[in-house]
Order: sequence, then C-alpha cells, then structure tokens
Amino acid sequence: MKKLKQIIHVDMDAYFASVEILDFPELKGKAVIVGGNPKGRGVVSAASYEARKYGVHSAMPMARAVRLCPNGIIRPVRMSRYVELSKQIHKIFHDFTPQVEPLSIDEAFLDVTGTVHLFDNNIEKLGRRIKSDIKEKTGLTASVGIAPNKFLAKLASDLDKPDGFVVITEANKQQILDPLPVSKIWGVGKVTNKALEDIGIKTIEQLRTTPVSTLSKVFKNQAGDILLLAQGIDRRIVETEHAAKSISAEQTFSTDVKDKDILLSVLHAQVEEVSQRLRAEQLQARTITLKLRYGDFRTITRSTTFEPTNTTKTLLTQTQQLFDKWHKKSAAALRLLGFAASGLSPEGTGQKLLFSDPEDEKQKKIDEVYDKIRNKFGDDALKRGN
Amino acid sequence: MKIKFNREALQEALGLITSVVPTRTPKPILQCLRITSEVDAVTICATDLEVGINIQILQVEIDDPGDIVLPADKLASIVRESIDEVIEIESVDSTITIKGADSHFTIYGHDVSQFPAVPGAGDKGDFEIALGKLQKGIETSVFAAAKESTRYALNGILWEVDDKKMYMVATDGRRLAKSVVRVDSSATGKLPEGRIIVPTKTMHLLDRVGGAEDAMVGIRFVDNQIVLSCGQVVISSNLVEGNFPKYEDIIPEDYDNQVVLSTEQTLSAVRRASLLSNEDSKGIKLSLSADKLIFSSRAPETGDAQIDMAVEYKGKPMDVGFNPQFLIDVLRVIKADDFVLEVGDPERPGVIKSGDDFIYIVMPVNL
Repeated sequence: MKKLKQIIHVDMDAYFASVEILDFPELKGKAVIVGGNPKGRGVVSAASYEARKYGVHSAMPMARAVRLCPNGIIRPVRMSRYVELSKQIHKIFHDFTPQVEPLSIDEAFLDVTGTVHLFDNNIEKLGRRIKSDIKEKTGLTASVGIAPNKFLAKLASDLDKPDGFVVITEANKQQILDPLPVSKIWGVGKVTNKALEDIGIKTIEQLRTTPVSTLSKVFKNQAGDILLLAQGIDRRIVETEHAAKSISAEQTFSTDVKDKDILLSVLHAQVEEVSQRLRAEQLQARTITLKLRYGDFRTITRSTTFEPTNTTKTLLTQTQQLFDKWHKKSAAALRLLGFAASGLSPEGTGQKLLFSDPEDEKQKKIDEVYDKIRNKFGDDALKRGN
Repeated sequence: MKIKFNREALQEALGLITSVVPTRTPKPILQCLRITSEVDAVTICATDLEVGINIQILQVEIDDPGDIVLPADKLASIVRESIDEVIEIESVDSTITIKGADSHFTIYGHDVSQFPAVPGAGDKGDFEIALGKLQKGIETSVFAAAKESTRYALNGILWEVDDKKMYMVATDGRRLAKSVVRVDSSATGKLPEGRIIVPTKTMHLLDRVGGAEDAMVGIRFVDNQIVLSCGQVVISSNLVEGNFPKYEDIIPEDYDNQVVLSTEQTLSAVRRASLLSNEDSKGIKLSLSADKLIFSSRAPETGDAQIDMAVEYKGKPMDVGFNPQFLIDVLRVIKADDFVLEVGDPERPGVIKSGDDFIYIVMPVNL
C-alpha cells in the first residue's frame, strides 16, 4: 500500500498587519488596517484580529473599513518589507523539507513525507518546531495545519486561527469535516453557497450524501471533485518552487465585480505587487497570465509572452493589452481576478542586447527609486500616473 | 477592354505582384489588382499603401484598350490553375470575363477611380546599382532585421552611402548585419539626408525580382518614397521614419582573438549542438582553446551535447554563449568556404567577417 502523505500548511496570521505591529510595537493590541488610501479606491490588504472584530476584512474598500472601524490605525502597504520577511520564513521551511510549495507571500504547503523520520517520525513535533522557529527567528506567529493532503492541511490551519495548531488524520477527518459549513470547501463561494442552501445543503455531511447528479446542477463538471473534497480526498501534489516557477497575486471578490475601472485598479495593484516581488527576488518573467473566474465558476486564463522583463511599466502595458482584449470579447462579472508572471529566469541572464533601449533604461531607474521609496514609506507613498 | 495574355508571362508577373497584396485590410480595394493597357503593353499594379508594385507585360495582344480593377486572389488562382497557353481578359462595364480554351469565368470588377495611385516607370533615376549586387546585399542583411519591433526603425534596412560604397545595415537589437554594396559611380549625395531606412517587405520584394545579375536598378525618390525600377518592374515604397541606432559604436575593433572557420562545418556543428539547448535560454556554448573549438549545450533534465572541431587558434581560452539560431542565420548566407570569428569576452559581442564586404555582430547569451 502506498505510504500516506504528510502535508503541512503554514499560514501566517494577519501577515501584513502583524509585520506592521512587529516593526512598530506601539501598534500592539490596536485595530491595525493595512491598505490603500481611504479617500481613493484603495482596498484593505490585511487587518489585525482586533480590526477584524469590527467586521473589517481584506479586499473590502478602505472607505468602508474606516466607517466600520473608525478608531482603526491605517498603515500603508510596505511590500518589500513583507517580501524580505517572507524570504526568511521560506528559508525556515527549507530547514524541514525541500518540498515547499509557496502559495502566496504568507502561506505555503510543505510535503514532509520524506523528512518526518528525522523528527522521530513524529509529525506533531515537526509541526511545532516550524511554528516555534518562525516565532523565534522573525517574531511572527503562524497557524499550522497537518493532514494527509493539501485540502485538509489548509482547512486545518484555518480551524483554530490565530496561532492555531490542528492535526487532521485519516481517522478523524470525516468527524471534523461533517459539521462544517459547505463554504469551507475549496471552490464553494457565496453564490454556490446560496445555490446549495436553496436545495437544503448547509453542511459538508449533507453535501457528501447528496447524489452527484443533483450536485451537477450547481457545480457543473466540477461536482465529482467537490464530492471527493467533501470526503477529505485530495490528490493534488505539493509542487515545489522549482516546478511551480511563477509569481502571482489573485483576489476573490465578496460580490462579483463587473466595473471595468475597479477590475483594472485591482489588476494594476497585482501587477505592481508581482513586479516588485520579481525585482526583490532578482528575477525576470517571460510570460504573464490573467486568471479570470466568472460568477458561474467558469475560469479562463489569457496569457502572452515577450522579452524577459521585470519593469512595472512593461508588465503593466502588456497586462493592459491582454485585459482589453479579454474585455472587448468576453467581459462579464468576475468573482476572481488574478495575475501571474512565469517563465522566470535570473535577472541579467539570457540574450544580451546590442544597444540598450533608452526607454527601458529609464523605466529601470524609475522602478529602482520607486522600490526604495515604497520600502521606506509604504506602497501608497507613490502612485503611478496613467 | 479586351486583351490576350501569354499565360506563362502573366503567371510570373502575378507571382510577384500578389506578394504585395495584403491578406487582411480594412480597405477591400487593396486586395485588388489594377490592369491598364498601354500602346503595346499592359501594366498590372498592386499596393498595400506602404509598398506598391507595377509590372509591365509585353507578351500581350491588345484588341481593345481599357483599365480594370479586380480581386487579386481570384485572378491569380484562375491563372495558376489554367492549362491554356493564352488567356483572354475582357470587360464590359463592370463585368470581367476571363476565358481559356474550355473555360469561362465571370468576375465583378471594382471602381477604377477608387484604386490608389501607384508610381510607374519614370525617369532613369538618381543613381543605378546592378540587380545582382543589390540582391546580394539584401540577402546578407535582411535576415537580421526585427520583425515587429516597437522601435519602427529596426523593422527596416538602413541604406547609407559613402562615395562608391553603399552600406546595408539591419539589426533586431541582438545581432546586426552590415553588407557593402559596391556602386560604379559615386553615390554621395544621392540618398535623402545621406541615409534612408527601407522596410523589410520592400527589400524582400526586390530580392524576388527576376533578371540578369547585371541588369541595372534605377533608384529615385519621389514624395518621401523610394522608387526602384528594374526592367519591366517598378517597386515603390514608403521609407521608415525614426532613428536607426548608432551602430558604428558597437562594432568592436579591439579584439585579438581570431579564428578562421569552415562555413559548412561550423553550420553543421551549431545545428547539432543546438539539439540539446535549454528551452529557456536557447543558448549553446562555444569554447575556444589551443587549436580546438568545442560547441556544447545542456538541456536540464534531458541531457547534453558536445561537438569538437580542430582549428588553428593560438589566442587565450574563451567560453562564450550564443543563440544558435543567430549563428545559423548568418552561416546560411555566407557563400565563401571560410569565415573569420572574433571574440572578446563572454559579455561582449562576437564578430563574424566574410571578406571585406560583410560583418556580423552578435550579442552573447548569458548561460
């Protein structure tokens, strides 16, 4: 019989907000909201647990967050600082296994199946060590979920947040899953949740005992996968950094968004974030991909390939063209919008140029200054003109 | 209009003319040809508004003069499929009939007055260059031009004159080819502002013009257009606006590591080494050491390749990476048996020279 996988999901608690509190200890215990300008179209990037008590959550318009939590302390996004710490955290992961799949700047899957024997075959011991190492070396707290697969591990890290530590095993998984609301399943959002409620399905137990033919009406061809997840079965493997090879950002909207300006401003922020991360990691990308998920879960991607670059302006121009092309043909309300840069190679490798493009040189300088200022004063200290 | 054409002559002319016709255009009239009769010849012309072509056909019998505009692809396919020796084109009002021994096609013509003007044969020209020399210059430069660069000047070939030499320079920003075309009499002052940039499409078209090596091509400039006449063919083209990069500065002159290589052997070695080059970097490595040149490549997770070549080399050992395609492109157009390769260091361009009239600069790939 195949050996069971041992997967750990590590998710930093209120990451951006926690870094702010770490760097500015006077914020401790306060409702900290990290995000864009409340007077503009800014959105919340992260909120401390104190702020969350007021109903503030990420992706909410900043103006609304301020209304909900008038005493909240608003901090600008300092992406380069978060990237710096994130690198440290990833280094810690690699102390435990080479099989690390970073999901975003503040969470990752670790496949420790091959390394758990170094910790007396005790996965709980290994998990606790990751948690304490992160706390010790960075001062930040993480929630850890341990399970035989990715879906359950991610679910576990979320069950007892913040500072959580939950272990799900083959033996207890159904017991844990059954009473949970269906929204805990990956792929079940607001609309689907409502559709399921309409046919009387609220808990995972109810879901898994519903015939696939009924579920097909809600999930289309994804019904089979959803049923497997409801039984705690997930066969996706942990894709290491080497295989994944992309940097991305994505956002799920609390309600579907159709407004072109809002979509574009979200996308621009994602391109800014990704290009900044590319530069921080000294990488250049050859391909960009837009991920567009419609209200009915239909998900499409649109990508384009060009000369390797990490300048924000070039990536923005390419993204804008790609977006416009999509918008002209197949625009509709989106529940999720994402941006990924792939085809990565170390900066400066590849084909050299005979003469530098003066425009390109100028953009490189702008990015350099930009990164410095934003690193010091926050991502809102400077905005690009369009 | 009623004209009998020798089919072979018509088909040859259409082969060249239809390469100007745009496959997609917002103006349908540009997908047409204009056929106009003269005293004892017929001219056919086409244009995409950037490049125009005008060909005179002498193997005709004009029964009734006229002037028509009809869809290029239809006429070309009818003529191509025909088995006749003679094809007759006749028009009555806007209905055009094309007749062979056993065939009869009817096509609706377009309004002649809507067809853009295309320059035809005119004065002798400001200066002349033999067709063979021009075509050699084109073949050894045009391959290095950019395809769809946002720097428009790179999508064309730079022409520059210096007394009896004309230089043709093309670059896509990664490699650059410079060919010398020798002119019989001084051409100084014959190009507007001393240098022009001609679109690659125009250059490819000129390369396809049939004729004797020593047939003379007359070159003149009309309204910011270049007009090239050779025999019965007149090509007119807009010039590319914009600044061509200052290429003189990037041609290295301080290299002392030089090796003479066989064109054919090197082409084969590069081709073979490229079989296992990395998907992403697409580079192969050239390692020069005492009397040895090694071509190697490595594809992660697949394998590697190495080709050894004995050479006469006394310079210092050197490793440089190149995009193999950039080497294959140039080795294909060098007609001589040998060429000279010069290298500086892994960060600086490689130089390939063939005789006194050709130089190629190629930037390395950082492997």
